[in-house]
Amino acid sequence: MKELKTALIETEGLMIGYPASKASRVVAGPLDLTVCGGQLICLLGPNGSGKSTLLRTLTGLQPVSSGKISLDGIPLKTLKAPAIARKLSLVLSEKVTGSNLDVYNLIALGRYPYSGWFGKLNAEDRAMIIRAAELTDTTGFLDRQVDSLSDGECQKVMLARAIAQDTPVVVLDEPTAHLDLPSRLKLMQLLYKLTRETGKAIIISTHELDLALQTSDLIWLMDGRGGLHSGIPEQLVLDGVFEKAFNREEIHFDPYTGHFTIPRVLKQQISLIGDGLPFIWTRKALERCGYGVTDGLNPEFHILIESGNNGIRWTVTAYGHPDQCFNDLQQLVDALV
Amino acid sequence: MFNYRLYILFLLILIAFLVDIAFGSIHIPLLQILDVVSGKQIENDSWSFIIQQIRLPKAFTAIIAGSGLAVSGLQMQTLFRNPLAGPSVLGITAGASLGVAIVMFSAGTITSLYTIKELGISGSWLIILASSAGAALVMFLVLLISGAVKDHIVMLIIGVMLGNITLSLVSIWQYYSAPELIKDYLMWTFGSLGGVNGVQLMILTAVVFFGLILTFIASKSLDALLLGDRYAMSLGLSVKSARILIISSTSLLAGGITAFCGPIGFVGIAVPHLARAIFQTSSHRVLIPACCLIGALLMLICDIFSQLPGSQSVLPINIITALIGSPVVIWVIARRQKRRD
Repeated sequence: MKELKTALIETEGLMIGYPASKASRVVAGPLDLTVCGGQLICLLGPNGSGKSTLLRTLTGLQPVSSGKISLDGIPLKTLKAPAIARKLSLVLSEKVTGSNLDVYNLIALGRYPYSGWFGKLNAEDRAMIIRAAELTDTTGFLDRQVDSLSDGECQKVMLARAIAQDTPVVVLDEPTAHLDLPSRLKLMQLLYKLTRETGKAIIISTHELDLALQTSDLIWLMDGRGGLHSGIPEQLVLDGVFEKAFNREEIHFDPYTGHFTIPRVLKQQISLIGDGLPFIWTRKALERCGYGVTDGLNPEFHILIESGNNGIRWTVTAYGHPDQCFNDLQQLVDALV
Repeated sequence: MFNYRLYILFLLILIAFLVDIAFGSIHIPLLQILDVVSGKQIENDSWSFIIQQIRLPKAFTAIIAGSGLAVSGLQMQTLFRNPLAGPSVLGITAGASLGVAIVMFSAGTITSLYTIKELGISGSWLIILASSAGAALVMFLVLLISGAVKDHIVMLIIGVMLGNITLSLVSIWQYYSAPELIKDYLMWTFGSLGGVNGVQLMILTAVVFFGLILTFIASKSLDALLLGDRYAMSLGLSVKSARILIISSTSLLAGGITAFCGPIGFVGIAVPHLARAIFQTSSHRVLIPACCLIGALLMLICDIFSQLPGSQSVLPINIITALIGSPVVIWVIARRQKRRD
């Protein structure tokens, strides 16, 4: 057993919501959360469930409605902005444009809470900047202008800036929002690696359920009704909280695969005989076309998959029709539809 | 690298300063000029008077106005995160004009801008105060609107319109004013580096110096603001107090200079871009002194061109700054467009 980690963030009876103005409204709570070093935490939840509000509250950008937050053992309320900036750094989904900054100087801004009156950097600052670039794999474009980066590169650079800020906690608000799929995967992989290598706690809000289930140590799932479920991904799936939070008429959470699926009106049941990859992908194709695939043999309507030296062959047996053979999945699908 | 560019700029400013003093409607030999500048007595009293009372104050005003306008433009470009921002573009100098017009037209039928200035210290301060207040008012409006409008070009158009509204307020006032006052005001709008001397030059220097100190204090905050408000906050910056500091210093710089020299265009928007291009940096610790030097140099050059040798008349300084500044603005827009494609 590992020794007990110290909590970097702890909340107690935290109520989050809009500031106590005219329309004071509580979005979620009470929340009792704990963040430890080395954890990758994914904050999930449908739109409007309060993900951004929670992150803004935890980072001190928004006042607490009621309850307590402590950062590294110190009540957040008593900390001034520069002190918070040494404990907690932030990456946003918005792109920084028109700044005329090059990548090195952008990362260097992470040293802002440590540098003197005029922001002059010392040797330690410069070492931190280089280390942050190395950790995030951005050393290759330190000289480039920030405006010339792709969205994926830009997010990595913003992350490098947060690392240079040298805080035990890094918070990312929907960092994958504008990225393509490979960039999203890479970013999540990078965040995972960072928690292991640096011992930082990383909290990210995201809509990428699949990625969150695969990579996070802890999931905070906001259910849109004011509640937050905290636990390891697998436990939450077993508890059935994903279905409750996300299920709507149009989509359906499949607890077997951890994927969201689009429920279809079934045309007909069909049985499929075969194995390996051809079986899996034939089943997917049939399901997409609205067939319910059963495991047992249905003598009236079934498909036999045979893999041989000449490729894959599909034989369709339907009651009252002669057997049909196909050498191509598309032909099979076209014939069935 | 940074130092050697600074030295070259210093040298160029020195040369431009001497050339600026050498040129004028009356020809004075260069050696005599050097004598006067270095404090020696020369035989020709009228030459000595021209240099000490007219040309030297004008060259100093050029240096002060150029530095101040350039730095106020730099601050605005960072604060609004808009490369096309500048005191003359976003209506700040129009706001300053409103302040000046209010003082001028409400001072009565007999007084004019020059007589107010002749009142000495209190009159000069009155104009600077009104001008800076007008500038701050428009700047605050622009800040409010820029929170809602993210598009740079749209913001630019809104700024121009704000300027138009402000200037039409002045026009309404003009319409009901005495003709002498209107003429006085119109002359002021052409912009002039001359006519600032003695006490006024000292006051202007003090105001611009104070504004520049405020900017230096804000230089680290300005760096953080390059990332936008939310990132700046996450770095531990108090965005509200940083904004107050930046608006105060920009209004003092742009307002003070506009009060005494009239609304001078394009220096504020163009110089920061030249500074970034020459020094290849976005750090305000470097850009602020760079803008001071390049702004001073550009203003001296503009002043030299406004009184080209052989010509008896002096062109209004606004015409020259527009001629030199507009191509820079076109270059900035074209380069951004190219980068976007």
